[in-house]
Amino acid sequence: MPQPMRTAPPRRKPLAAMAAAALAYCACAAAAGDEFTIVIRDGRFEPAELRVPAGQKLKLVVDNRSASAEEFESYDLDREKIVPGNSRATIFVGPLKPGRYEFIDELNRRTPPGALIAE
Amino acid sequence: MRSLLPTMPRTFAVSLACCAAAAAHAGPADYVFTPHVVQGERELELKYGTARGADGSRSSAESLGLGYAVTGNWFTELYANRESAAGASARAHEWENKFMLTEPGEYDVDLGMVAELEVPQRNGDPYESTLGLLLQKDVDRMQFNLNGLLVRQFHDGQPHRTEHVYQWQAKYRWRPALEFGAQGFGRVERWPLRSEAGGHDAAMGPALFGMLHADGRSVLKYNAALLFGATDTAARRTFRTQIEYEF
Repeated sequence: MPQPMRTAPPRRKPLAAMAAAALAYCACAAAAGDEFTIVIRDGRFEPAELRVPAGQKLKLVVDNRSASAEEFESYDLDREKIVPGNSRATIFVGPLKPGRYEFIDELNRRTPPGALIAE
Repeated sequence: MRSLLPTMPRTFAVSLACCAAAAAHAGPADYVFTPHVVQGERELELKYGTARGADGSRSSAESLGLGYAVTGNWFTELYANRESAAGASARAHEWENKFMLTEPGEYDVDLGMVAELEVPQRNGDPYESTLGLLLQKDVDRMQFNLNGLLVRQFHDGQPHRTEHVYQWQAKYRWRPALEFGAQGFGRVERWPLRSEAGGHDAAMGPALFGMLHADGRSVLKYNAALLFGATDTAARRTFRTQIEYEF
């Protein structure tokens, strides 16, 4: 009587599987929702306070209209991004709980802090 | 990772090399990678760790690194590493490259990748390569990280078995100068995980984090953890710390 053929169990490659799952997840995940713009000009954020909706992802466009590079930094939002002179950078935040989230220009501490007001 | 005394008996040298190799995967100076990169960031880094092994022996490791974020997605760093055990020390150079694959917060999970090459300072000792996937998820003031790494050694042109290393951490971002949470490190010799002794080293414990701003862009960051062995073959206790000066 012929013996049943034994097949080796498939080798699992956890890192590859993890990477594929993560990439597939990201590919399917929804991008950020509403878009808001903050301008850096003449050593200040405009607007200095920006009201945004709480509870949803947001896309912040930081438009640096000065000649020098600036750095958008916020411990409250856990974001840090260099914005070269006369260019824009996109920063994704949220969903935020209602509250005030301050940000600064780390390369130019004379710039008054700005804030997102989530409500 | 090795620079041993020439008079050391060969058997002892081999066992130390083996210890150092194992420690390289879950060594006392290891740290949890995070996937984010900030363009232009320069960093001087010091890592130190000391561990009491499952057999009661003491080992320690130090590492000095200099890193630079070349682009908004690529951070590269060179390290000089030293490990000590049983009265002898071993040295290596390491080149680490970290890649941010997604913008922070763009998707539900932030992705990054790390690739490392470790070159021994002593002829005949193994090279080591590491390739890993880095995940981060932020929920309000909580930050969660989970990393999976493949670590492989090469000796005399012969590749050794690939080991699976994982790292995790969870921290509460209370305030910049003081954040607290927990960290864990593990190594799995074979996958899927088997129950026999030696197949899985895991350690975990409480951790503190923080940063202090100096002038301008300069920041001093720290993190430290006290890890307890969670499996029979893991180090009983490990203290590890990392101090970074960003400028």
